[in-house]
Amino acid sequence: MSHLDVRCSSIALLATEYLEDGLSERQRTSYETHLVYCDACVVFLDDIRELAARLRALPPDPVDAVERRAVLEAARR
Amino acid sequence: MKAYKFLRAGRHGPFSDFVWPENSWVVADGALDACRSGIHACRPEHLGYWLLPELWEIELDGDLVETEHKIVAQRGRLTHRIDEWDDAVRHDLGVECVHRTARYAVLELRELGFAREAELLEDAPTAGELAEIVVQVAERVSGDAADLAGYVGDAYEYAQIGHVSGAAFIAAHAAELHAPAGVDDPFAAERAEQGRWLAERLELTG
Repeated sequence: MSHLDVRCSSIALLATEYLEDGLSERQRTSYETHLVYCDACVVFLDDIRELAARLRALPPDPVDAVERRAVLEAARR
Repeated sequence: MKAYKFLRAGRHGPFSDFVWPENSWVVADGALDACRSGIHACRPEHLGYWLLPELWEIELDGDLVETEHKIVAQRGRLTHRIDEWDDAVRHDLGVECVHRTARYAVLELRELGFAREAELLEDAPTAGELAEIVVQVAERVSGDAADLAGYVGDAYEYAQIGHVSGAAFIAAHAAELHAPAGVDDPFAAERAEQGRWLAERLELTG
């Protein structure tokens, strides 16, 4: 099967890697030719891009690593 | 060299969101890398993959890398918009893709011995009538033949709403499913045919 004849479910799995420039040229071409005809995957990619931007904009975690580990261990008991 | 570039409305790069200036050279930073770095454009036979609202002629210069689906250059300049890529041509390409999808369905039906159903599709004079007939045909057959008949209806729906890239994809997917004998990569072959149709209609060269 042609690598350019791909389903949305396969494309969705590659969204993060696409945004982080982690795809091969072949995968990237598959991804981008899919975006040309699939409006739903364009919207999905925009959502992932926006979510990533919001996560990056969050303030640093105020709980330090030692305290976090202690809380998690307490929760497991 | 002369090449072609599809953009979203307002000269927006479809993946970079870069807004292209008219008649000014744009120079890529760094080494050329397909899909990442460089000025991306295509030859007429690649057009079927990249159907977007605006089509421009672009002059490329400097280092060039050519891949299966695109050309990447160090420098590029939009020389003029191809205004003939308008709603009428998009509609006609969409209808062409309905008929092209139907041809793959006909070939599949004949291979499977559904001669009467194949004739029904061949005799349909318009895309609209094709879309009506395939509903009956899909009920009478099964497997890939039924899927291909269904794709004709899907392509018609896309063509009707002006979603030409959707109709074109369905035709290529239908080619892949039918897999005509002697064609190495039916999907790519169908995309190349779409590009040739468009280049001929718009009188593009290069």
